[in-house]
Amino acid sequence: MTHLVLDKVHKRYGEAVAVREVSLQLTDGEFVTLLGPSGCGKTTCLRMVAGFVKPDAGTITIDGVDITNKPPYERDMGMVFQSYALFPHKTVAANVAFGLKIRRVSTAESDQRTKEALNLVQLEHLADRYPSQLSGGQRQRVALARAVVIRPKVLLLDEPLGALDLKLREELQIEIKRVQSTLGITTLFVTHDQGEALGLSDRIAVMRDGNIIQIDTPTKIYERPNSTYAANFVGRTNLAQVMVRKADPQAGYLVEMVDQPGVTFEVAGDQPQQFLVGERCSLAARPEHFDIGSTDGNTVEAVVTDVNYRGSIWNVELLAKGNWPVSAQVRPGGRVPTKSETVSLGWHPSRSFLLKLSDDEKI
Amino acid sequence: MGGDGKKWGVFLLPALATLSFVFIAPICILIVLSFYQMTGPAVVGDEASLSNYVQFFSDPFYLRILWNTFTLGGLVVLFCLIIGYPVSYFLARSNSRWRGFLLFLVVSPLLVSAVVRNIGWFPILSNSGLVNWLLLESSIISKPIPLISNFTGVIIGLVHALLPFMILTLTTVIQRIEPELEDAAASLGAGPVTVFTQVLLPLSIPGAIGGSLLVFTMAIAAFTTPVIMGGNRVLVMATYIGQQFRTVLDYAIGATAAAILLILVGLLTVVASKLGARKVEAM
Repeated sequence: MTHLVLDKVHKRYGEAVAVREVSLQLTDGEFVTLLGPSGCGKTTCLRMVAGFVKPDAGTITIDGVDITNKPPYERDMGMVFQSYALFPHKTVAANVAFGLKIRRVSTAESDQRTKEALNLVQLEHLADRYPSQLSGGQRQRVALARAVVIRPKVLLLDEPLGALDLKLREELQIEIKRVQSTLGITTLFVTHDQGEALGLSDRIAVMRDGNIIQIDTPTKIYERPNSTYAANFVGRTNLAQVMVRKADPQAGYLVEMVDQPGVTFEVAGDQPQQFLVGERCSLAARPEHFDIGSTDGNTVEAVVTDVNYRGSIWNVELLAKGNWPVSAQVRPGGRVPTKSETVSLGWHPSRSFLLKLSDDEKI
Repeated sequence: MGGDGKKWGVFLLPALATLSFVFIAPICILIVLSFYQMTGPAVVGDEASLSNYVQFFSDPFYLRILWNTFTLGGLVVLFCLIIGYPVSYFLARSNSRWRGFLLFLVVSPLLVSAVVRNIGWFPILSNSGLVNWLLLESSIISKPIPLISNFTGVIIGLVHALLPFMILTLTTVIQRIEPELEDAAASLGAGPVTVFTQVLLPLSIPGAIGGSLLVFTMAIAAFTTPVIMGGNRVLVMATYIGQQFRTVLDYAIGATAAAILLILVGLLTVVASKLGARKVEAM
């Protein structure tokens, strides 16, 4: 039973604020991801939980116990680093057993638990090797085993897949999720990769400039981001400037394109924010939500500017009425339009959403 | 490449010629000298034998000098390791703006002539010097402790002179140990002492062996410092060899001592580098 709480945690480096009064709660067994570009404060947050960085203000508690000023070695955290950080002078088994040895666990129990942990990451047969004899993916699995074998209160993952190539990254994602859910361990994960965040997390906290700007489930983050920033950071988004013409709590909104008066679209479903009639905002939709050639729901005339084959899909770049650049997708089996063709671009009203204009978009 | 190598090899000739004249030739002559007997001041006979070596290893007087020399080297290495490690750790890990200045301080003993460096210790270590004055004034001791013109003085002088070599070697090695290894150990529950003994120390051993070897060979070969800081009372191999060649004019036994020192240092280097190589291999 682990409940990790960050309460208004603040960290400055000289003049620069790294983390700005961040509050975050992880419930038992939950997998939460801090997602953001480099320099957004996500790693500093994680290192404060680990105890390597002391916050200037705010508290960090585990199960109600304040650990803000505890040194890292008294915190019971299992941590996995991007650089693996395996002890090069110790064998795989000795690396995994390191934390148990410090806890003075008996040799018999230590051997047993080491074996189980290596079994969990399917590396039992490599117990006697040295880290330098392993591949990157194997090293990170050893690091994972070493972190969980001590039965930590919280598992901290600091960009653990960052140093691996694409295929291994996908394999190890599955591995991490499997180990995490098998052990039911509360996990805080830091990444700049939206794919990892969407695939692994129970909840994602999108970070920007030291703040958490949105925290929600992966589907909510993807389908209803609350800002242009979040919408662009997680997946691709097509944005068009629109003006709200009708606002109805039940039926949703009717919006009109700013650059093409007379062209209106319906927006249905929950919106993360409230919009007023006459307000300028962005209409947003994901590439996969467009239906080329459709005449249902919202439609707009568009000219195909480029078609790219991507294996599982075709990427179609279009220029819609009102100079609105749109990128859409066609799945295998669908009709692939040709370049310069004029098509009808359609989407369901609930598949699009509205976003407040950010400060630089208002100008 | 082979043809090119030969062509450029010509440029090595001046250096090779100089080295063989000023380095290899004297050593060869010295070793040859050690097989002959002294027949008069600065003169040797013409009958080659091993009797000098037999004499050296059977006479307690010589063995005592050898023992002194190695004890001196060992103690200097030990103190350099103990004093140097924390400094090296700081230099390797710090981003402080004082880092450059500290590095300069570390290297500064090398910029001062050995004579000046040693003489500078007299006002501090002599019986009426700063250290003894402070200890006497604060009534910690009742009569001065001899800190210079003896074995202690030689150790202090050599640690001062050779510490930069230890620190520079250790710093490079500690820099190569990922800081995240220390974080990883701490997150697994290791306190600072355990991090040091379980992670830092084992990973520093190759560097420590390299630095120790460097300091040891320089310590046992040092001449100026034992002469000045030992006040002519400390007889180690280097000072003994100096005496034989410059005062006693027994070239034969002087050459024998020099040859023995050379061979022992050579053996030590081989053993230490084997040991270091094995440690590195295991990683």
